[in-house]
Amino acid sequence: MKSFSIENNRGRNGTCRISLSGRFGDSAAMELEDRLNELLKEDTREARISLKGVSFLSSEGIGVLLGMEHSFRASGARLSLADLPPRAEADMKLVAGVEYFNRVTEL
Amino acid sequence: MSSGKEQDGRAAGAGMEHPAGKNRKKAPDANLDRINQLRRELRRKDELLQMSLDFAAKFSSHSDIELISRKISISLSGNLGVEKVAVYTPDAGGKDQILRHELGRGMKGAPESLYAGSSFLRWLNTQEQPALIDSYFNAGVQVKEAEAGWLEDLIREGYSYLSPLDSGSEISGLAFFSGKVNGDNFKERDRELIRVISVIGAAALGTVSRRRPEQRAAPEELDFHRFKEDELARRSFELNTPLTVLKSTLWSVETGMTGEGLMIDMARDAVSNLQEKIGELAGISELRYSTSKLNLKKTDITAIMDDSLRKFIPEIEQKFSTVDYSEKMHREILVDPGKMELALTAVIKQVVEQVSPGGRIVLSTSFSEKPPGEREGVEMKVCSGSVGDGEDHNDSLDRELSEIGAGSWFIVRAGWEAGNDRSGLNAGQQPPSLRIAFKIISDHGGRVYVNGFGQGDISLSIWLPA
Repeated sequence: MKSFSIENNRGRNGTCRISLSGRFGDSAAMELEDRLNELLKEDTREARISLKGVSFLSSEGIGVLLGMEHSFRASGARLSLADLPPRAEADMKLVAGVEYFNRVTEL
Repeated sequence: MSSGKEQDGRAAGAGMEHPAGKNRKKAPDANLDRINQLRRELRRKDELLQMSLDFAAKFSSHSDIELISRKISISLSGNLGVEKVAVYTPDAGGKDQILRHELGRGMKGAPESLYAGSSFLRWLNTQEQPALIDSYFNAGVQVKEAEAGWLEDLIREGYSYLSPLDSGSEISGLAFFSGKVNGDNFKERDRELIRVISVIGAAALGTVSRRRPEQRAAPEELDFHRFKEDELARRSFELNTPLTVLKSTLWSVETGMTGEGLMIDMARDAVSNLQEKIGELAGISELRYSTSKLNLKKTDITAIMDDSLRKFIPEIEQKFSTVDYSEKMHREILVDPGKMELALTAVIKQVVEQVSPGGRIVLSTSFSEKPPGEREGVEMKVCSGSVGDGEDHNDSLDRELSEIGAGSWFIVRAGWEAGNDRSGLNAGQQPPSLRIAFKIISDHGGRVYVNGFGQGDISLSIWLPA
């Protein structure tokens, strides 16, 4: 199963939508980090990531989300999360406090 | 699930009536609490062990420094809950630390490379991990301009903490990170995780670095390895003598001969000598070309110099040379005794080799006034022949100095440089043992000042921070 898919590279108002699915382990985390860095270089103003299809969220995955959220914020852009599965939400809360991320109700 | 087990345990304990009365019932409860606490501790250790195995599998499955650094970054970030991590590892020459990966880059980003000088690494050795970067400025260390620049850049970029990627015998890199995003301080579990990630990450990086072709080809490193091998061989040879004495003495004790007390004393001396040599061997095996880990202890530096000198008594006697201490001061300073002994032995060996037959070797240890840009320290002088005699020997360290080419760990006095042939000090031509001795002194935050170095003459001043 592919670790994540990009639904819409550049939507309205420069927003990019990314859907993650399957096991979000360290390889997928690095793949996502590369993709988000590319988006920053392309001057993307907002990236919305849906974790709806994520069956497992690794600590490396959380690390990349934390780091890239900071990079987006530092560039004046925004990284938002949507559709967090309860277990992923609990894991995130344990490490970082889920309120750290900007949340959107839909992708 | 775990709390359920603990409740079951408490219920079973509470149900056990003790015949001696109410007060005595508290003991089983206290024991159960202790057992439950131990269970929790065991679970935590088990979890940490599992994580260690996971990290080992993740980090060691790559042979690329950038990729391992990247995994270290995201592992630190996701396990600690920090938004910024920058991992640096040494360049091929081992002088500069190169940024291999930055997670959570800000507008400017972390510096691409940095020079972590010996004072900085020495300070880092004394800090509990993770070290607060800011505290380096308040540690009473004279922060060098080159260091202050990148430290301030990192702090401006939002980095607050630092942990060496230390496998226990070798520093393979540095990891800088921000504080936790939830504003909490690092707890014991966080510190354990940092230790685990640092040790396993350092081991993976160290393995890859040793395989890199540019590392293998470095001529200075080849010299380093040759020196290390020679020293290990010499120490191994020296181990044989006390071992032989020990064996024959113990055999004598068993025969019940008279003078057993003397024999036992000899055996004790031999064992002490043996232990000392084993300590030296351990120190040699810990030496690294890039950055050696120092086991700092308060040590009388003059005693180390005496011990180093004692090794060459036969050679000194053979040359009919004399040894004088013009000044002797016993002062305990923080050094790695094994490695410092190695460095001073190499320096004295060079002096003994160069002194002319019937010549004079002059030593001194004294408290040093602050040389330019440094702290108070201890200055040791080792001279042979004419260079070390007279006024030159009493020079203070505030004399004008000039640094020779990049990659050197010593300084040549400017006045001396003008009128002397310094070809013997050019990198690649000076004795490898001396270069490595200078490097060890430099790792201690010290300096070596070369007053003279030529045919039959050598004069060095070694300054170490007190």
